[in-house]
Amino acid sequence: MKEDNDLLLQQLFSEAAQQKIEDNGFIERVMHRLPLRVNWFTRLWTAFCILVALLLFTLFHGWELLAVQLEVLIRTLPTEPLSGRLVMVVTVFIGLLIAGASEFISSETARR
Amino acid sequence: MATKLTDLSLVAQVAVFGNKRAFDELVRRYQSPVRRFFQNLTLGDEQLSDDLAQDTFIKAYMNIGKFRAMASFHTWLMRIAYNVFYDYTRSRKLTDDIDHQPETPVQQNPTLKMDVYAALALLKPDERTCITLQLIDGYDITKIAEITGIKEGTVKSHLSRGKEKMATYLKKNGYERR
Repeated sequence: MKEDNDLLLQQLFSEAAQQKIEDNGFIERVMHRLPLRVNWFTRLWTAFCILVALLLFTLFHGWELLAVQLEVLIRTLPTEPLSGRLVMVVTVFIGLLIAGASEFISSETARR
Repeated sequence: MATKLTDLSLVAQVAVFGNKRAFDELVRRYQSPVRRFFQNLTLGDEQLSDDLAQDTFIKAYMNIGKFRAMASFHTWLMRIAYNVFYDYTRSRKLTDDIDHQPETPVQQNPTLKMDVYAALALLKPDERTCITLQLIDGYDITKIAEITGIKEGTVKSHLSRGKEKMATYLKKNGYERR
């Protein structure tokens, strides 16, 4: 009797069990409603890195090094050949490209 | 190399780096079972189901740091869904004392058999939850107990009572096993 009931119900519920509900904008609505989650680990890590950078900058008299490097750069720039300037521009461009690509890869891997 | 990230690595990305795209992927994976669970518990009320499902995902997002991987992410999410529904029924009980209306299936989804909702409408919320988790989501008694926090023995009685009520109703209405 009990097994008979089980079979009857399984038969009735089999269609409902296979039902797949389409997104229809549900995911977007959820993502829009997500509150700002304070990520303490990330915040603490960022604060720690900034602190270390400031400490090192002060310890090694960073402002003096920066001023000297800037002065050298300004004074030697007109004497630099075209290829030297090109290398500088390309280096900055590649740096930006790598930063952008790594951000894209990290977000896209989450989707897969 | 696995092309699909596991739930655990997605959860880690959300918990550690606050990666919203990782959470978007988790919602994409589980929106269907969670919304279906609520549709069965609310007897086909799509609007209410979606609201409850949204609350479930938002609670999961806010508490993702508490996920300890003792159970699968799916089971953990279903436990949150159950708690959301439990809170909803408790809050509704308070208003029902003032304005009592019997539960009736909401005919919003004509593709789903109304027989299912009509049969589920006969059950108490806990019986309906256990029946839904077993017959639709395919969980065994241990998992149902884990999700609902109800003792295994009580889950068994809910299942047995619920099945008997539904089978009697279906037989009375001429629904026979093919």
